[in-house]
Amino acid sequence: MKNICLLNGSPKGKNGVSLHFLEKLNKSIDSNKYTTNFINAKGSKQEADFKAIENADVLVIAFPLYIFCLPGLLMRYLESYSHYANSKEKSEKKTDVYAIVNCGFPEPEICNGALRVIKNFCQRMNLNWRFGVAIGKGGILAAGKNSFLINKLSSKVYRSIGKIKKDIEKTNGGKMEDYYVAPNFPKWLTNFVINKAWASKAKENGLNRKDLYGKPYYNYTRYNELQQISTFYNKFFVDYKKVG
Amino acid sequence: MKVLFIEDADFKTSASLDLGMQLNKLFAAKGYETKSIEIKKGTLASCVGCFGCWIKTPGECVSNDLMKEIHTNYLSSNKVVYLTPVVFGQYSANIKDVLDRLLVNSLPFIKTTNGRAMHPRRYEKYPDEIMIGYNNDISPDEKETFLDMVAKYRKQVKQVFVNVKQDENKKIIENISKVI
Repeated sequence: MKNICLLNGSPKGKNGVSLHFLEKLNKSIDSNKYTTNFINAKGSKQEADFKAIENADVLVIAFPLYIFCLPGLLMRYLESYSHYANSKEKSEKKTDVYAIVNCGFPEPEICNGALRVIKNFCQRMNLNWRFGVAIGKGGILAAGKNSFLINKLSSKVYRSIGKIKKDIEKTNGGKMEDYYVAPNFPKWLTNFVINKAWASKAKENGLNRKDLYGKPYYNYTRYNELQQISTFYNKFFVDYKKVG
Repeated sequence: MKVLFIEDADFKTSASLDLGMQLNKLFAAKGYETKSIEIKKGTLASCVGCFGCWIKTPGECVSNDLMKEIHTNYLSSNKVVYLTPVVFGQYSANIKDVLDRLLVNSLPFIKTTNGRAMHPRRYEKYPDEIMIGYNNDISPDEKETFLDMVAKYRKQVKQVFVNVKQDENKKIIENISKVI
């Protein structure tokens, strides 16, 4: 029986949309043929979880895109895992690795760098990289995961996640390309909905739209200017005193 | 004029130590006020994606730790130099935590410019950044990933270098001294 490790790399832990994708994948997997094991990078019991990852036949990593690459929390987790694995003898087993990465922006192509990082990780750790699914408009997907309409519009996304399941079932699958998908939702409408959503969320916190543009550290950006003024003032003041 | 060095305290190579020292001297000689902040594991919390810096306390992270010092120094500097290990072709976790939490400097709204969605800036002016990646062993794929990622998605970075051996330092110093 093959065992599959589903690693949730979201810093939001169980509240993130990454877990939702892994659950979708888990549902489609035949539990008579495979055992699945969920791991959360956030608050992980590292030693036990690292052992599970090491012994897995398949590893699926799902995570959100932070500043165009892996979130710091997941990066720390993978760094720790590499220290753990390097301190042990290398096993013969070659784990197949898949990645599911989602971003809030409409263009899934921007996740390309993150997929390359996971690919490099596989190369370093001697794992077998299969392919990744990059998902755009993640915020819309997350907000509408219980809505029939959004799920219908996202069928392309869920089909791509289904490709992972199909590939796991295949043995010795050939080389695969990464998938770049997003819900079938116009770009301008995505931007409009997201911008509206921020304003209404601010309202819940007792702020209005204008408050979101706040610049609490504005004076720091004028540091040089202010310093020049103060040196000028000091000089003038000191000189003036001398004259006086 | 002020320069801020953001460094990873947990992993340094002999080449990166030498480079850090030379850079400090170079900036000081050019009349910069220098400030260096080193990030260790556990001194800076990872971003948890709560968006508090956008919708609860706009412009300020809700978690009050070393980030406040980094952020105020970041905004008051003319140049920011990152010295980061290159791990799997990305910034190390310590440096990535800083970059993640500098999200506070952009606004929540999405605007499409030149066909690509972006978050507008919070302040008008930001420092120019110099990104230096180092490690004892960087594979060609990792190097390419790192350089591509910085060039494509960090427009505020004016110069980017990857440093493996100590003899590459001289060239890096020469290139940086041209722009400061």
